[in-house]
Amino acid sequence: MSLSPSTSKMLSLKSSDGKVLEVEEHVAVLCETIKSLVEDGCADSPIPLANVDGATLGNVMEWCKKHADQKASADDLEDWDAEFVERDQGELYHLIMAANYLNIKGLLDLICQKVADMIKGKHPEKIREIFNIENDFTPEQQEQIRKDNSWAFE
Amino acid sequence: MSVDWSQLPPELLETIAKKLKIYVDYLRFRAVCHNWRSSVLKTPNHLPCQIPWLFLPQPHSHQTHKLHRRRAFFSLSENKFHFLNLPEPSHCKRLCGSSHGWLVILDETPTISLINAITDAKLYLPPLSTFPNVSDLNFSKIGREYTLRTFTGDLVTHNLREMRDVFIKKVVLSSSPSNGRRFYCRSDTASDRLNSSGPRWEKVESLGDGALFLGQNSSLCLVSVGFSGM
Repeated sequence: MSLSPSTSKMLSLKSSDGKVLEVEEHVAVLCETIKSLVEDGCADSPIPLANVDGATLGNVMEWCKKHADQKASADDLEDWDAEFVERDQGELYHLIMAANYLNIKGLLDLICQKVADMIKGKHPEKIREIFNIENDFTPEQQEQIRKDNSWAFE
Repeated sequence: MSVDWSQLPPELLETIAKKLKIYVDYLRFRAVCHNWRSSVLKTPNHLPCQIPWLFLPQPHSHQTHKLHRRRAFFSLSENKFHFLNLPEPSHCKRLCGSSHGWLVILDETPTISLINAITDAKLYLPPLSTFPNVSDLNFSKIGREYTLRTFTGDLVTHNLREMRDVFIKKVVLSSSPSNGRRFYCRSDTASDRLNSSGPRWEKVESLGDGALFLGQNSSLCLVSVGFSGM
């Protein structure tokens, strides 16, 4: 099946909160999950995406559109991606879950790299603060973790 | 959908953790919460070769400091100092190699010890007196305790300090002692090798598949199979 832009038709995607987004097929198929549906002929509209809210779906499709654009150079994409991931942790969380659910390797890699960059060089306390994570270790476990590699937590 | 980073699926946590390339970041990642800790391996297998820490010389200060076990290391990848307690004071000792996280220590005794400053573990290699060219060690001959046989068959004597400082150029471990294989050592007279199961140092006839690089600062031993052009 040819999925080139010239023959691309429109697909309707329906988010978990009921928003419907019209997306060109050659853009939407960057999501492996949607590509499988299209290839199997099960892509009759609208495609329900129960795990992705409308705002996140919009962001994901914005990324797919940019990356489906064959005129974009590698440098251009890199700069664009760097700007794309400048978001708060809440948005990044929804993007990472959506990229995983829709199976978009490039986007998943990008967000995971951003999260790793936010973790680098920071102590656990700071990481918990950034991502709003509760410390669920008991004081004894906490002490043992520190004791095992005290140099890493100085 | 609510935001809860602590409950991220294990495969995503693993993908994120694999993008951390410095060991200390990985350790701290695992110290964030239960789920993050249990989702990734305790010992990472994705890390590139880590830049070694610089072991800083002991400051020439007051006499009492000589008994301190605390020594400073500098981490280039983090651009910061770390202070570790060695298993014993390092005064009057010579460091003659480091590989796989172990420091090789000589002092004015025949003992060759391996210490791991991170885990505080200590191991011993066969002593200096078991080198093939050491023909005698007698502590009662003060100032000429060791008798060595040279290439030409002559006998020469060395005192304890000379043996600490010049007899061994460098010790290189071919694998971590916890994996237990063999260790290579360069003495001033020959390249000697040791099987870790054996109690003595033996002269190397062939390294077989091994390749050994000896340098002033850094040395490396590896299996050459799989490295083309070697």
